[in-house]
Amino acid sequence: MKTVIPFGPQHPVLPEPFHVKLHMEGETIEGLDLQVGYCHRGLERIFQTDYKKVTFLIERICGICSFLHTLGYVRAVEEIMELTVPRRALIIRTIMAELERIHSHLLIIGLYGDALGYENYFMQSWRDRELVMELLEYISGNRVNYAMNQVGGVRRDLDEDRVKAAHKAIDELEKRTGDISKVLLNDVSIKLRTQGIAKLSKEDAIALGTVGPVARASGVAYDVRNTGYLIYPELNFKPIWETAGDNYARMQVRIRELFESYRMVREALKLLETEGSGEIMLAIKPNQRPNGQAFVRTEAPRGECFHYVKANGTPDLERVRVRTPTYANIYALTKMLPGADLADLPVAVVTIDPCLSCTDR
Amino acid sequence: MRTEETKKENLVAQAYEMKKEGWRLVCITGTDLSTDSEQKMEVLYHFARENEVRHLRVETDGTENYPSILSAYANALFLENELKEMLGIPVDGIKGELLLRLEDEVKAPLKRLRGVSYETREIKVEKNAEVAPQ
Repeated sequence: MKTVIPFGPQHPVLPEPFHVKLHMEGETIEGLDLQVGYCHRGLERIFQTDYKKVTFLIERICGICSFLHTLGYVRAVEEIMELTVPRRALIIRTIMAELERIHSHLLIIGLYGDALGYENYFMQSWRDRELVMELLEYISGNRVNYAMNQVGGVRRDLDEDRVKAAHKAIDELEKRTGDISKVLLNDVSIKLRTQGIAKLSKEDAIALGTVGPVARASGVAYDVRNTGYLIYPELNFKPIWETAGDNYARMQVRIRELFESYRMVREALKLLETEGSGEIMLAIKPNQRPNGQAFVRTEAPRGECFHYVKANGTPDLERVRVRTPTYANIYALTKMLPGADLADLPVAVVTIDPCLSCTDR
Repeated sequence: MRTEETKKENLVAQAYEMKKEGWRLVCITGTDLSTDSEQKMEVLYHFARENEVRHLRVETDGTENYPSILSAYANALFLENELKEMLGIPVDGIKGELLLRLEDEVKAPLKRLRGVSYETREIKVEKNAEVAPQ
């Protein structure tokens, strides 16, 4: 029997609202219509203001990858103004970007456990996430919007105590992630409910322009960190990818990325220790204003994040455009879900790690 | 950032060619460059292939029909919807119903309103001018 079932905008598995109209044949999903926009705040219109203020505004796009939004934006403005950011600031930006990826991945791994009915798993993962959240607070003074980036550098340095605290937290996190990954990757029930379900082929992943762990789980070994921004080339970054393209592979990529992030944070911290103190911020004259346009790609926890800035030499920016990873990934649900059971839907939605505040702006 | 000028008549053919060459559509950015005397919009198509990037630039006055590249790039769907919804550019076959949910919301909020000076943000209301969504 054919039916239409609404999923969302409010649903226990969705931390943020979006709506899916499911076209069902019995228990099987035949097709779906997506509707976003419930978190639209008109931010791109508000960004047409003083370029210095936008650094703080753009951070408010998202509560999870807030650092990455400021990173993309300040990199674009720095490119327009032809600024060379101090090396120590680049190292600190790399550390912050990876810490943010760690907390984002631990968050979605917890929600994944919750969607599967593994509540202990959810609690364990979020308890581990607290370690990185506390570390971010110790470094920046904030848990969500860190206010670290500014055009020309970063606003806070990492002293010896903070570097030590970061080393300690990363060691503990690596041990704990090892424990939770054993369940995530080896549990028979989890495998039965995730392997071979909601598959996205490599061809579809490319055709639909998917990015991040969603694309990498389908065999597209594309990671913006490979393009050589910040200090990633020095850290010998290698993209993590799988080929199965199912729910299991998408979470497997994230688990493996966590270990790669721990390694890179550790190496970046060592660079801070060995190179000693230095400048973290360039002095910018009050009358120095951006004039031109720049396009920047940054690898956010959910994938490639795009920022475009156009300035005309006045204090106000002419245009700021943001295309977030979920914006690129969410449409892939229309290819992933047909053929899956209704009961598989919450888990499949969680595996694309949707962020609707980012998507809607 | 270097952009390549193209005409809207050639856009679809160029999109197919780029897809054939392995370019991925990253984003579409529409910007209203209108002044009090002239209505002008630019649409930038950002493409990437590994570490290379290309940007196509199309100029339009935003009133005549505008071609869609959806047949070449499936991920243009949301981007073109936003182009229509936020700037009011009439993209062929696109409804423009993506982000604005309420019927009484501001229409085309990124469209520069005639009668509003960009530099000073002073509203010089002309006869029959639209009301600025400040």
